[in-house]
Amino acid sequence: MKAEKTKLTEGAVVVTPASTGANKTGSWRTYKPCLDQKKCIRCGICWNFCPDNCFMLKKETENKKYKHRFEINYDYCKGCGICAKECPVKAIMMQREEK
Amino acid sequence: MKRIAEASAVMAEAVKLCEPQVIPLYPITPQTHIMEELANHVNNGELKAKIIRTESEHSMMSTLIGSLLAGSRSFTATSSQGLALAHEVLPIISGLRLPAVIGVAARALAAPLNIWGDHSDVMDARDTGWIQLHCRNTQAVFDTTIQAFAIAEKARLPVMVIMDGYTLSHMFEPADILSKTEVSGYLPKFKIRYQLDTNKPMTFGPVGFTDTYMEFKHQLKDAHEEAAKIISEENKRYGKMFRREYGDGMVEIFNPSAKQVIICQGTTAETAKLTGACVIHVRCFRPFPFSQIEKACRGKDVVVVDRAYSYGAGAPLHMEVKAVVPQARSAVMGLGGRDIRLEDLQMILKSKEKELWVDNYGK
Repeated sequence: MKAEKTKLTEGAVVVTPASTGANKTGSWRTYKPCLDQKKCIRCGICWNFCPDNCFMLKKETENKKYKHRFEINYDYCKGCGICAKECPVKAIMMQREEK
Repeated sequence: MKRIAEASAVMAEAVKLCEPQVIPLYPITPQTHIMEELANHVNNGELKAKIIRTESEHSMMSTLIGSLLAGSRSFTATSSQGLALAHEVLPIISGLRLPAVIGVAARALAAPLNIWGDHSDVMDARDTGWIQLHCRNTQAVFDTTIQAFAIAEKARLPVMVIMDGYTLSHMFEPADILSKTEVSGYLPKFKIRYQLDTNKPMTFGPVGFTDTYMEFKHQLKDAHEEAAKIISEENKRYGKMFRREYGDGMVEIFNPSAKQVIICQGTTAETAKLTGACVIHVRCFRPFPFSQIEKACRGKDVVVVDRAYSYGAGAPLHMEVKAVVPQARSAVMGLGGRDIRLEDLQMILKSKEKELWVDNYGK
């Protein structure tokens, strides 16, 4: 093993910011949160509570009652279920994911 | 300029001349005088440093990480239970390759509670990736502290400057104190490879998965091999500038022609010199000077004096020496501040026992 050949930085410093994006942690998931847009009241509690920032704020095009909607980024969602637990109108259901 | 001073105060004086910007501290016997003196220097305006009073040694050592990454030369000191509490942070500092310098007034570990000197605490920290330099007198404390900053910053490894608790930390001796201009002529300006910078964000201390962890640890191993050269170079450069050298930087050998050899660390070396035997003072315990010791001990009767013990295995310095000098005998002395007298060292030279716990109290 030759450490100098591996091109690793000294002291394991990551010199490129935001490089964690390359690590798609969604594959760790067992349960998948499914958001029912019809039930959702756009309160933003899920967006606030998600430990992995997986709720993306998007422009609403179908429902004229709201200007925005939330969508889940399954590339990084680990399926912790905090969003489903916190949702006041039970618009998020955790479903077993088969891979 | 020669001055009579306590080794702790001399270490503080050396640190002052190296101008650290941050000093996190937490008091513990017998290190406290170092911190008291540094606090005095800051209070008197002789040293422009930020003193951070922390709530534990663990926080104190963690503060070092932050201040070093922010680009400031930093120093702290501790002993015994304090070093043990800070232990968790020690491999983090070496793993991050930070040039920390700490003073250790080596002291016994509880239980039973004991505030006196031995090497239990520093031996406990030997596998953490730190460079460990031992001092045998007050002058060595001054010179080693200044060299430690140069070594740490060049090798990009943390350094412990170790003095025996009480036997040296509270010892008043004459020491030649250098001037500010002399020290700034020797010690280069502080710099580290990667620094905290809001304009250039970086991640420090990330996860090392199974695919990289081993490579990073291999880097640390290589760094220690490189450090052995740097320690010798810095010792030579220091010697050239100020006419004081400590052997080859790694070991000091006194009276090399004698047939019997005493291998020891710290103040014991000063007493051992009086026996007339050859004395090898292992100045640097990590990285360990295997080849120098092997060469100096060839075909000789060797006894290794330890002030610590690895329970269930043997005495730590002896275990290292035995790897290259199979005939080396072991003497365990001075645990918990027990005196190491000249007659005790003469006795272990005469003894033929493979491992001897020297019980000399009141004799």
